[in-house]
Amino acid sequence: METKAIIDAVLNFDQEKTARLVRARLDQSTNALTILDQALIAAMDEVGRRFSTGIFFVPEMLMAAEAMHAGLEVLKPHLAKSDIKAKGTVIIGTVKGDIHDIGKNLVSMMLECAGFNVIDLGVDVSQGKFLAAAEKYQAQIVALSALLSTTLAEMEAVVAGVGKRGGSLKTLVGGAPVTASFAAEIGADGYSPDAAGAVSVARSLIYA
Amino acid sequence: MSKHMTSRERFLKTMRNEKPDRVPYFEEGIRSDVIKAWRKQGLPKNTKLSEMFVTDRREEIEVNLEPRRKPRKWPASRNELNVLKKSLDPDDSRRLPGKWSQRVRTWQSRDHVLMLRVHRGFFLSMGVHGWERFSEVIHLLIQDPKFVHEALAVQGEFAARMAERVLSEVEVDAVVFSEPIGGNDRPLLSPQMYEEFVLTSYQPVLDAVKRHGVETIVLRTFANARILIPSILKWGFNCLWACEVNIDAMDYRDLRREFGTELRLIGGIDLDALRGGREAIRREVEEKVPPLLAGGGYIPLADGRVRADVPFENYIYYRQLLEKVTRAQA
Repeated sequence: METKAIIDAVLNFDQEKTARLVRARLDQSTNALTILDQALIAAMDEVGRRFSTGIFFVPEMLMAAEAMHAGLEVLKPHLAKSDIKAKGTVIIGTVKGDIHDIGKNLVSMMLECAGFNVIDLGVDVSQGKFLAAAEKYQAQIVALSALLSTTLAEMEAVVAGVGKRGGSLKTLVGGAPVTASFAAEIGADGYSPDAAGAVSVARSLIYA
Repeated sequence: MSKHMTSRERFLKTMRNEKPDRVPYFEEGIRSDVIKAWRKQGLPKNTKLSEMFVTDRREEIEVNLEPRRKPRKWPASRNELNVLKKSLDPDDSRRLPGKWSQRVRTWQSRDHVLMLRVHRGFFLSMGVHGWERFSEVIHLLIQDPKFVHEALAVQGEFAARMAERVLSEVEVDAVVFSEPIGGNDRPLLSPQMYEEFVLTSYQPVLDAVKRHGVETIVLRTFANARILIPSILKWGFNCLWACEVNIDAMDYRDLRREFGTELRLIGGIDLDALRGGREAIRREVEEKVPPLLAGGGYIPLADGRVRADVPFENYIYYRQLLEKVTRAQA
């Protein structure tokens, strides 16, 4: 019942209520990971479902994500205490030559809400920076965004760089000029046309 | 075959779903850096593209729709909106392109196509250029929808008065509403939200445009706006110009089947094919253009600005093939 109430609060974009209900569940000694998985992440899965079926659009998705974040902030100290690991680490950025950040930030937010540890390198990020960050944070995924068609070559270079490095590091690409066929052509491991879809692709890349 | 027409006559005929002497050929907004790159690939020195390929000249009047004083902070409150309002004076002569009177005189006897850009779209007119303001505007949409209505009404009234000002002096062939920010799988706003907030705020502009008898009202979108089409048709738009979108999701042949010739179309040729090579270009042009031309109300054009990543030899092949295919159709 309380789990459903938290999910509803997220789906109604109610930050204050989400935080209050999460706090109440912690006070009842419910395990932080249970609250995260069964209430907050479950709520965001429902947001993803509503987005992919055209019930939610970006405004609704963003507001729900912020409500979820409010709950997550309450949980964070408890998750840290229990040494609970993130679902995986994702390095994200807009490729070199491109300074657009809206799409990248939406993806970053949705991945965080799905329990990933997201390292956001910002915009105009070089191949070297992506690779160095992947190394430093022992990431599982490098997520690349581009808005300009002229920077697709840079995206291709980063994907090639990750491939050359070897190991299990995966690439996830997206952005206005990026298509599934382009992603396949450059050898990216995953592609998503939108932020909500990026979550399921990231999960499949890590758990496959 | 009808008599030889001017570019303007050709455009007007096409947009009226009538049969012009041939289809209009517009240039794809090619910038000087591309020309520079193509000079190294064989474009002869001092030769313009319009001398190499049959081209219909198209001009777009760009009035300045930005606030005169760039706001330090875009409004999120009524007080801030009142400050912005003062920077949106439609009577300010600096809002019109230079040598205005001279241009107006020249346009009276023109042969080319003249369009007027009347609105910058929802996100730009709300001051969105990056994440911070984007996020703020989304919050406002959900938490203070009344304010967003007011802000858009200010922009709509201002754009309408600017349109009125130009249209009282110049007879244009089309007006363009631009919607540059969106997703490649769908618009950022739902059709309901787009109608409630955006299209409602366009009404004064649409009224001005109709008062002056402009026949073609274009929505130029840079997103997959497919699900917005029923809404824009309802509001009186009659032409779609989709740029840099996921071409499979916005296949003009599907749109034609679904909406008929009530929706005129500009563009529709995948820019990726031009980057690809001859076979991709041939397939794209031969498969898409003839069925669209058959229905009328269509101007074939690459679905975005041709940039330096398109090799010059591909561009030559594309333009020659386009001429061949469209002339065969005529």
